[in-house]
Amino acid sequence: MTPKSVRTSSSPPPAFDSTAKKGHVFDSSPWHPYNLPIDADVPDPGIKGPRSIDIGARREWLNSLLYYIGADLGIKKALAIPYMEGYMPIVKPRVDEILGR
Amino acid sequence: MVFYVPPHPLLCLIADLLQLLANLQAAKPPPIPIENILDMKKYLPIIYNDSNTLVIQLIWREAQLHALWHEAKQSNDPPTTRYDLQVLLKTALDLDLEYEAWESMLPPIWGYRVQPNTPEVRSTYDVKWQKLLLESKGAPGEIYIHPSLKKSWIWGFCRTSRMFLLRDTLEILNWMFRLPEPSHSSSHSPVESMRGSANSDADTNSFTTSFLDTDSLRRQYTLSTAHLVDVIEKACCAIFGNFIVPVKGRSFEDMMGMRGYVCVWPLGTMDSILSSGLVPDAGASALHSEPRYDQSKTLPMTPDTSQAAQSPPQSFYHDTSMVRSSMYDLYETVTDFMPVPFRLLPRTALTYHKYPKPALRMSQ
Repeated sequence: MTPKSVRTSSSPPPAFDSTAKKGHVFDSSPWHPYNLPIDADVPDPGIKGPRSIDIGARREWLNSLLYYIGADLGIKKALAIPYMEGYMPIVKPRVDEILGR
Repeated sequence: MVFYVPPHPLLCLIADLLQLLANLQAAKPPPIPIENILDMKKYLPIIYNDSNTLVIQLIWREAQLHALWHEAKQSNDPPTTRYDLQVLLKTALDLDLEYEAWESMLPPIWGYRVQPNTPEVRSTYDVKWQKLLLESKGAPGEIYIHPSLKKSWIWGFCRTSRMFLLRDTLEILNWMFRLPEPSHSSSHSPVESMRGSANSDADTNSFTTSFLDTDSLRRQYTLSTAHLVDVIEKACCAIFGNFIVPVKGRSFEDMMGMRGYVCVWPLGTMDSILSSGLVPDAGASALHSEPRYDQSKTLPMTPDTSQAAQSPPQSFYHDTSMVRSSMYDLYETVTDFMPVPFRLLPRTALTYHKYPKPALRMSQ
């Protein structure tokens, strides 16, 4: 995830769009294009590379728990994440089956 | 006749903490100076004892940094040189070291049991937890069991706020990569001038162009990414414990609402970061690893979730209904909270200013 080749620019950074929609309900503000790396995975020979995470699987796990907390433990706002992120069709039937519903 | 009953200091402290977390989440500066929180030590000496930790102060400082970083990138005059961002970056790196120091300085009472998440270990827990948490897709490889819910909660505060910090660090670095590399023929010590009347500690925080060159930033990026992955893994390992750790005077199944409440902020923050594109993805083509910024994706509509969708969790820690309904539980949970030796008092109020252009030209 370390930038391979840095492409600097003399042009000013893109203006922040305060009206842009937030990417995730737990983001503090709308996304800015400079937030992300320029290039994808390139190992830095000088440093042991970071581990990685199976993001799809881990997000499914996180959203399963959020659904459980929202649906079973009464913290309704926890449901906003699987709902907004599109995980409800996956996690709801799975958790409901585990809980015998 | 009307009697005025001042609020209990603990209630004030809880309100301050909830507001602090809310402000961190919303990228707003801390609501009150850290000194005001520290002043409550005289009213709550049991809470402000040395066996507690520095978490509140670390969170306070990260809330300040987080607000400044968002202010910088949302500014009408955003950073255009790496010098503009060097103070924020240095502050972030220093603060991350202090998070590490907090963890390394903890007394044994803050320790926790680590178990491998293997079939043998899983079989010792309730089948529901096995299926829901331990053996499901994406489950972490280890299980952390803290000695109490309050310790687990505080660990959660620390790890989650550090995730904010590391995310900020990576975002700052990504901005800097896009900005011109400084000339190697000059060196700058702009910190003092930016901090105005900063105390002598700032004198030691000088920068050189080597700190800002691309190779240095790349090394730091790799390290910060590794730290972020590590903190997320640890936070996931600790989630299960929140559901089973003992709570004094309560049955095993008691306080399930509070147990879930404790988990929501870490879970939501991790999901946000994992969807941000900042964490290396080990999954080849996982179903949900596509960039989240595709706003065209359709959202399923189910009746029992529409209400949740209308209540964005940014206000999660503004919602004090849980606190009102179970103040005793909260008291039990936070009684050991609140650290705050003064060693980590912010050296000076941090402010974001672009590096002054005239000074830059002079130094060149």
